[in-house]
Amino acid sequence: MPLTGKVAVIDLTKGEITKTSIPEDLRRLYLGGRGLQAYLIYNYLKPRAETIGPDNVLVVSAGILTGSMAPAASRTQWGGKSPVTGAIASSNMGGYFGPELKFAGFEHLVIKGASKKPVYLWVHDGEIEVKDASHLWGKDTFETQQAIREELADEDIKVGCIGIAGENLVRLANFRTGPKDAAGRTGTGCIAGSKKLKAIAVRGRLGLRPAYPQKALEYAKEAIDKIMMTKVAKAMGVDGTSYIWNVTNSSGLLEWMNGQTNRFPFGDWHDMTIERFHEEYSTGIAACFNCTVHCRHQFRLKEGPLAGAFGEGPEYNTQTAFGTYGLNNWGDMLLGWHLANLYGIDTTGWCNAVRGVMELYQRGIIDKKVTGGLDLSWSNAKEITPKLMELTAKNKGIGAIIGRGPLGIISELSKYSDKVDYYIQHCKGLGKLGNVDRVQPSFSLGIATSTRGADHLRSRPALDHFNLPEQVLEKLYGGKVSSDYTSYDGKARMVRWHELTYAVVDCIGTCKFQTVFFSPNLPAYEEWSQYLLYNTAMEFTKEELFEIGERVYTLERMINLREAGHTRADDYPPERSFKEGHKYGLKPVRGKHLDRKKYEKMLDEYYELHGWDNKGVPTQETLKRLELDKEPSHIV
Amino acid sequence: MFKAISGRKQPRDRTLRCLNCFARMDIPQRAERYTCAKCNTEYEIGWRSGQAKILGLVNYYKD
Repeated sequence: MPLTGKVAVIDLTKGEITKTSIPEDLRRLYLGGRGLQAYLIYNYLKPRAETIGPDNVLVVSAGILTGSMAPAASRTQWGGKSPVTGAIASSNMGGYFGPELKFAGFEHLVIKGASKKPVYLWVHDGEIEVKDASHLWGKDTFETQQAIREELADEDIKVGCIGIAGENLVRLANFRTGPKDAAGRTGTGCIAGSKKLKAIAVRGRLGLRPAYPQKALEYAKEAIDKIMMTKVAKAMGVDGTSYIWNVTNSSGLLEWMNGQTNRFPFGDWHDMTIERFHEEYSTGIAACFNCTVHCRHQFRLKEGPLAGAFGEGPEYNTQTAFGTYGLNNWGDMLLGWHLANLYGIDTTGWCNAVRGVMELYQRGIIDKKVTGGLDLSWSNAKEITPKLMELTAKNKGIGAIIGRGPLGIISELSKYSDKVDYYIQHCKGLGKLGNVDRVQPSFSLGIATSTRGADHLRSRPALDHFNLPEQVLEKLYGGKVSSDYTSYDGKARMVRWHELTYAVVDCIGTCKFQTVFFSPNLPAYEEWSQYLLYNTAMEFTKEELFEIGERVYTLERMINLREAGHTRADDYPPERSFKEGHKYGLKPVRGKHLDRKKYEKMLDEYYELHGWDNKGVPTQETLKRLELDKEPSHIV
Repeated sequence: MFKAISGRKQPRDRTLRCLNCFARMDIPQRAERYTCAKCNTEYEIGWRSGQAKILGLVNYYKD
């Protein structure tokens, strides 16, 4: 049987482990990965549980095809209830951990309760052991991975772990694996830390048996050939996701100084380009499991306290994040990135928090009494980065405030001004990216309605940047969508389509960057149906897969309604996006900000397409149609 | 089996879109600068494995 991966429920309070198979009817509803993760969170999380404590759950979910021959099927979902937002925690990680988890016979781990002393899980060939991790507590994420490999005498073991940020219950802490990969957003490392779970080590020799091996192999090869023919695959194979930076920076679609300007204000923009990285730091480029694109940069730090250290990454998003608050060269950005990786901190969330606090400092809302004597001027970014990162990881001083994320910062600092909420930019409590959203209604709607809060990986509808013929967009989205990225027309349809599509991708376990995310020529529903058929013998039509995406997205919405009490008010981008236009950039960008009336109309359309009422609550009819009226069903 | 929506057969390695007006720009081999014929936006051009790419705007800092 190709689908032999089990769900293991590990109760760290009682020390009990139960293993269960996944019924096929549940597969047909949720596939795996993010879908079954949402199901498991909804079923296992005690309603309204505290995010830091034994009642929260950490759910690790490999995609249904993770570890298979499907191209770039490397992904794992990490989630629970977010200590950053109070809503769903959900983060997707690449690398090699997920495939190894599958080879060890497991697809989902539900970790509940809390241990009294530090532990790690040793998952291997159908077995799970809870092992003492006292000797690992206090180690960084690189040391931890290596120490476990040495202890278990197997260099092929893959380890996911937290750093000291997770140990210290920093809400922006993440779960990491390898030199680069992270379940970065929504505080998965904090959930693990609160359970005294330092790491999960996996090693499997059970393999995966495709239903139709020859066809699976042939189709994978055909798909790879097509993927590698695209312009975007070639670009990614050299520049990684950073290939986007030059385009967004040229257009005026990057924000600096917390969104005060869209023109690089910290020196010469050439120093920030990927070309400069190639010249000065690149030592190679690597790939995640079964990926032919190879977009993971490799580098060595040249100077500073960590000179000589090897690292991988960063992605475009992190390059953008560190640049937005004043780091103006690769040496400083790579140091910040590497420190975050050692401590186990979400770089996107941390940089958002830092630039927000820096603007409060710039405006005199907070001073050195609040910052513990640190000068948080933009021009001082290089000096403060290592110190702020350390304070965050240790949960001390101003770092303890930053590490709580947007909601914690607002709660802590609003006593100094009623404007704090305006300058700390977030959606649903998750920090906004460094991209300009205010001129792109589709991007704004996407980050605002994203179930996990401000984030592009839930719905980023980048295709309206390519000026594709509108017939192409209509064919793709099933209705009229404007190809002008500043237009509101059809963008609710576009965002919803991407939300559901990326939910399907995350259920399958392949990389989003090898989907329609970047190009309409990359794999989509038809190809996924074939991958699923040849690898699992399960047949799905495009419509059935799309409905699974709808079910998963709606269930995540239900988790947010139950746990965080979200309403329509939580589906808006930061207020600044409605009030301030940018001075610079190309003509389509200059002076534009969101129009509230048009945004409201777009949001109404979006709810209607989803089958939710005008407060964003799924209707009974929708729940019934998607068979969500039976949840929580406790089938597994 | 594997269908491309746009139906395009070959990638256009030297063709870029103007970021301002979206006109196609056919970049001469190894050119380091190029001005969009339609809107006059001037770009710094780089090359990646034979593919042209936009590095930035020549007049990035000009108001």
